[in-house]
Amino acid sequence: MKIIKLLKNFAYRIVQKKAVIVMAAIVIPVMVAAATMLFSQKSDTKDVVAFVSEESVTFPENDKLQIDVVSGRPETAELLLGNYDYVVEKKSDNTYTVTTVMKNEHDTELVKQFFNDGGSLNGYGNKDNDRDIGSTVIGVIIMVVIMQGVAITGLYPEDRNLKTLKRIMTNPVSEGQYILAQGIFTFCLLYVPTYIAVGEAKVALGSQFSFSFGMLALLLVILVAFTTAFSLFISSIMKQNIQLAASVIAIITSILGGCFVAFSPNNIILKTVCAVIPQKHFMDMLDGIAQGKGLYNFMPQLAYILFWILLLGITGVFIIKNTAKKAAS
Amino acid sequence: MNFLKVFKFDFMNIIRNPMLLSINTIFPLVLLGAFGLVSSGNFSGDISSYDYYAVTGMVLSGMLVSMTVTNTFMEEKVKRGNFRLAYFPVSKTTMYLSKLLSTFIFASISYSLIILAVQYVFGCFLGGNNIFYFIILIIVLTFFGCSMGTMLCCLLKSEEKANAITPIVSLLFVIFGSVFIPVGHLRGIFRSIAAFTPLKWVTESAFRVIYNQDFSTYFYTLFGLVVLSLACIFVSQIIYRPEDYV
Repeated sequence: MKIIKLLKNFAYRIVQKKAVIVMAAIVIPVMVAAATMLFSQKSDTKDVVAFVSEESVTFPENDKLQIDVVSGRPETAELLLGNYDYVVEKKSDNTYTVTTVMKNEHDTELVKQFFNDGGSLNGYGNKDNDRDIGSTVIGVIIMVVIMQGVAITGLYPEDRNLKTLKRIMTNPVSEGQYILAQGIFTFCLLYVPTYIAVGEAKVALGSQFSFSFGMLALLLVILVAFTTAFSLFISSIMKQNIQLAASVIAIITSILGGCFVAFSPNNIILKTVCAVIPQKHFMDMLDGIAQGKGLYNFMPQLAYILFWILLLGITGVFIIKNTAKKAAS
Repeated sequence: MNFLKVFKFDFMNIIRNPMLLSINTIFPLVLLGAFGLVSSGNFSGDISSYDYYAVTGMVLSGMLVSMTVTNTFMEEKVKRGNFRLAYFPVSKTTMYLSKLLSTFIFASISYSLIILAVQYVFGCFLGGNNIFYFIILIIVLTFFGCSMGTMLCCLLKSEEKANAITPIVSLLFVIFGSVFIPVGHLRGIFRSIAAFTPLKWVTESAFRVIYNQDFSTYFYTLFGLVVLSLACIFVSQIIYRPEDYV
């Protein structure tokens, strides 16, 4: 009952802060839409080759490369800006050199063979770590979800700074109940817009999106639960610049956790650092499920994320208990 | 005189705040290192992923400085000070301009040092002897980031709103500014949108200057950024009212 009263209190107050609600309801869908559109267009575009030649040459049509015959060598900046993916030049001994920047060695080698020996482009662009579009969309929004979660939990540091917490604690409400109510509140306010947005992306993408609605619901529960625990934790340990710190942590851990690009470092130290980041295990799970494995294959990952949720949550509760005691005395 | 005093306080506030200090010194380095590391498998040829993300990572930092402005402008402690300032015979221009300039000068110094360190200590290529053109570009971009942050603070009038909205506006600029995805890989409507974002001009000019010594778009970009910054300051001057921040 007390928890319901606390929840009611939070709900009344958050309505006053329209910005937070509006942001949660707008930012997440906008980011999901942007991610969806950006990444869904990627799959049906060809890579562009600049073929440097004075004469006009024609190449057989293929679905992997678009070959533009240009008279002058394009500058390096054109490769960096992505206007061309490869520059192919004829050397004096009639072989071709392939210059590229943002293509992996496997693909570059295939292109080299294609021009030099007329090799086939089979297997071009099929990287092992190429990600399913559903996991890509979820991966991209993890960062935004974490930032938003901390914004929604903003009532808690406010309670502390404005000494409302002290007044709440003089009532027969325990710290555990308070933090539980705050957690439920953040969870609900974050889960609903995220699920709707990703669900719409799924409808828009159709069969390309490999997760079912039920699986999506479950995966987002894990993600949002983790975010909630993290928000409570960071709001407990920091006094000011909470949002800023959370944004920084969200950006760095999401990059290193492979939320944007799947990668596996060779360096042992970096490998360990990345293995600690919970997002990495979440992404591993997403990738596996997208390939058709069942959730039960990922018990270690689930357990690890659960461990983080409990660790962050319990530390948060512990700190708030101390703060509340200090506030009361 | 008054301006200098207020400026000094704002400047010291940034340095005394460990979070703001580290976000403008260590964060850009970690950011470009992380990007470089993650995408190293997707690069082959003479230019490494670290060279690429040294450029775009700095561009990203120059934009995200708007988050620091929000915090120098609106933080609970600073707000009280601002309120007291409002009672003094200090013009309102002084109040917001000192926040803008203190962040700008702090960030410019720190970013310049970072860029020099990235080239000469970490060995990424940022233009060799042309590195100063890149530094100037990032400094002017930082000025735009600060002006935009100030304008958003004046528009939104509360710390929470500003803190929630500023990173998102910056991130949208970043998405279309070929920081994550090279602009040439965008198609259709995204390409048209990207053409209007200042970050795209900056990355394009930066790569041209660094790799080709091609200055054809460089000065237009600088000019465009200065005009946009002045527009942001102009808007701030019109809508900023110290009494809104009580």
